Amino acid sequence: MAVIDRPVAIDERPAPAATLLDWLTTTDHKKIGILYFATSLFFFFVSGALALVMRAELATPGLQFLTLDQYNQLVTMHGTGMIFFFATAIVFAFANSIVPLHIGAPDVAFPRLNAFTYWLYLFGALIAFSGFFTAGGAATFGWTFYAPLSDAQYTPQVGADLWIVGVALAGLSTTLSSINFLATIFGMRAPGMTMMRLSIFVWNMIVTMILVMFSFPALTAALILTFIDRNLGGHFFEPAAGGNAVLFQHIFWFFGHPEVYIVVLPFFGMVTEVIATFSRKPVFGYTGFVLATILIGAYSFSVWAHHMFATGVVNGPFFMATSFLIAVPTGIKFFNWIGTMWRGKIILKMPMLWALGFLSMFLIGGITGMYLASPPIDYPVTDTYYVVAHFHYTLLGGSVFAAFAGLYYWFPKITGRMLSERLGHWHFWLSFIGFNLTFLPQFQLGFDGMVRRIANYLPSDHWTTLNLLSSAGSGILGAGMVFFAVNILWSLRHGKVAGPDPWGGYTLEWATSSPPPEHNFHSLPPIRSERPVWDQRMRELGLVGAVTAYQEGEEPPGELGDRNPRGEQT
Amino acid sequence: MSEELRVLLRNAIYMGTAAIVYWFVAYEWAGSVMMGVMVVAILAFVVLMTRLARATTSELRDEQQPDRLRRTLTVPQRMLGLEEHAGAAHDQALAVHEERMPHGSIWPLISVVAIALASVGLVFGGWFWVIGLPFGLWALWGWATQLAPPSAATHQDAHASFEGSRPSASGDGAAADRETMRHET
Repeated sequence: MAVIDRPVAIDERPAPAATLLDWLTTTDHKKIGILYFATSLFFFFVSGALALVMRAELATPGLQFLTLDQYNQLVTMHGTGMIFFFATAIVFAFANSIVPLHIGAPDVAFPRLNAFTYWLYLFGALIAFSGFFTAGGAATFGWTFYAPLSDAQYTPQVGADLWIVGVALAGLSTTLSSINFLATIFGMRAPGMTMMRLSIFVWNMIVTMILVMFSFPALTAALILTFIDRNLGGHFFEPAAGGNAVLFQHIFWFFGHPEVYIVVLPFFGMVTEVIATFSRKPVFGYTGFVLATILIGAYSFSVWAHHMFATGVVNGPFFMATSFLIAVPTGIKFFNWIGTMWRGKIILKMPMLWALGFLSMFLIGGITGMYLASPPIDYPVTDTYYVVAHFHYTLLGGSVFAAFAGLYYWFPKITGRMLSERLGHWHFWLSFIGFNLTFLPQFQLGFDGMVRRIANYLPSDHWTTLNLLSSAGSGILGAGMVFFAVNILWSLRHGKVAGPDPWGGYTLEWATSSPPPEHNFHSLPPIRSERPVWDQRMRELGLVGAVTAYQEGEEPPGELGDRNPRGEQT
Repeated sequence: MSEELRVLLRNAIYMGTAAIVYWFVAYEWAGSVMMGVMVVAILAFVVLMTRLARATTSELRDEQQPDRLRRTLTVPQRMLGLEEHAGAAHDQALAVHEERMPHGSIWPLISVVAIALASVGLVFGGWFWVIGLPFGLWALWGWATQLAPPSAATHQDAHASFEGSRPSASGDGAAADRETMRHET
C-alpha cells in the first residue's frame, strides 16, 4: 500500500464521550495525559499561589501576616508541589500525550498500569497537601526533609507524616510510570523506527526514565527510614543513638540531583523539537544530542554531594570535577540548538518564543550553577538566596519555560485547537519580565547574606529594596500565569481548529489527526530518519532524491518553500 | 546488541569507574556503596532485558545473527556505539489495523483508593485499614477477573498492528517483538 490515508479532520471525528465515568476508568494514554496535565497544572497554580503569599510576606521587613510556622509550611508545600507534583508529573503528562505518537505506537505498553500510576500520583499529592487541614498544619521541614529537622522532636505535627506518605505514593507512581514508558519505547516502536531514528524528545525521555528508575528508590528509602525514625522508634538518622544525619543527605541527594535532570532533560527534548520545527531545519548534530543526553544522565549520578559541601565531610575535588564535567554535554546541547537555528528560517510563533526564553534563562541558571559546583564559592553562598535564584533560573526559567514551549507546540495536537497567540504574548512577556524581576535581585540578596527559608528580616539588613523588587516581580509573574490560565480555558472552546499539522512539524505525531484517533494512526509514513513526516513531505514534493542525498551527508539539491532542508536560501 | 542495552552499559561503565575513583579519593563508604549498587542494578537490568529480548526475538536472531567470532570481535565497538545501523527497509506507508484497544477499567482507581486508605492508616491508625482492606480485596478480585480469560484478554489487549514489511533485525526488532509477544500471550 503506497498511499497514506488522510487523517480525519477534527469535525469528522466522533464526539468524545467525556462522561465522568469515562475519565475515571480510562486507560487511553491520551486521556491519561490530559489528566496528568490538568492535575500537574492545578498543583502548579496552587504552589505558585503559595509562593506569592511568601513574596508578599517578604516584601518589607518584619512579619506582616504570617507566623513563622505558617511560613515554613508554605515553603515546604511550595517546593513539594512544584518539584514532585508539578515538574515531575508534567513530564509524564508529555510522555503520555506525545511519546506513543512519536514512536508510532497505538498506546503504552501497560495501559492499566498507566491509569494506576496516575491515580496513585493524584492521591499521593492530595494526601501530602491534606496536612494543611490537620491541627498542626502541613509539614515544615522543607521539600528536602533533612534529618534531624524532620524527626518527631522538631516536626511533631501529623501533617509531616501525611507529607511522607503522600510523597512516597507519588514516588512509587513515578517509578512504575518510568518502567511503563521504557517498556513502551523499547518494545512498541513502529516498523523502521530504530533507536537512532527516535526523536530527540524521545531520547531525552529514555534517559529521564532510566534516571527515575534508579534514583526514586533512594527517595523511597529515605522516606521509609524517616517514617520509621518518627513513628516506630528507629534511629537511622539520629547521631545521639548511633545514627548518622549525614547519611540521610547522601541518600536524599543520590535521588535529589538526578531529580534535577529528571525535571530538565525532557524539556531539553521539547525545546529541540520546537527549535528544529520553527527554524525550518533538521536537528543539527543528532548523534551529538543523543550522546550528550546519555552523558548528562550518567554524570548526574556522580555529583550528588556538591549539595553537601557545607557538611565538610564530602570529597570536594571529586564532586567539583564531576559537576564541572556536566557542563560539557550541556554545552554540546547549546551548541546544537544554536547550530539548528543557524541560517534557518526562524519563525517566532509562541512555542519558539518560549524556547528562546528557555535558552537565555537556562543559560543563566547553568552558569550560576557552575559557581556553586566550586567549594570555595559554594561555602559562603550555601543556603542563601543565591541558591534560590540559581535553581529558579534552572527550573522555572529553564524547565517551566520549556514546558510552556511544549504546551504551546503540542496543545493543538492534544486538543485539536490552537492556543491564542495574542494571549500567549501577554503570557510570555509578563512572565519573562516578572521572572527576571523576581529572581535577578535574589542573586544580590544572596551575596548580601540573606539566607533562604526565613520569614523575617530587619531594616538594618538593607535587603528591603531588593526584596520589594523581587515581590513586585512575582506579582507580574503571577499576572502572566493568569493569562496562561485564561488562554487554556478560552482556547479549549474557542481556539482556532488546528488541523493535523499546524506547524509543519517533522515527527510522527504530525502524521495523524488532531487530536489523534483512539489507536493513534490510520497509517504511518515510511520511517527512514528521525523526521519521517519531513521525509514524506519531501517525497510528496517530488524531492525523494534530495532526501536520500541528504541522508548520505551530501548537500540536498531540493527546496522546501524557499529553503532547502538545511534551511539555506536557494 | 541493541541501542537500548548500549545506553545502559555506557552508564554502568561510567558508574563503575566513578565508584572506584571515588573510593580511592574519598574513602567514603555511603557514596561508594550507592554507586556500586547502581552498577549492579544496571547490569541486572541489562541481563533481564537481554533474556526477555532473546525470548521474544529468537526467530529473528536465528535468521540474521552474525557468527560467534564476529560477534565477539565487535563487542567493544558495539558498546561504544560505533557500529553501523543498517536500518529497516520499507518504502511504503504502513496501514494500521484498527483492532480493539484496551477497554476502560475502574480497578486501577479502586486499587489506589485501597492503597491510599492503607497509607493514611499508617498515620491515623488501623481503622483506616479496616475500610481499605475490602477495597483492596475487591480491586484485586476485579482486576484479576477482568484479565482472567486468556483468549478474551489477548483480544482486548491487542493493540493496533501493522500491515507491511517487517523490519530487519539489524535495524529494529521492536515491532516484530510486539507481534511475537502478541502471539505468545
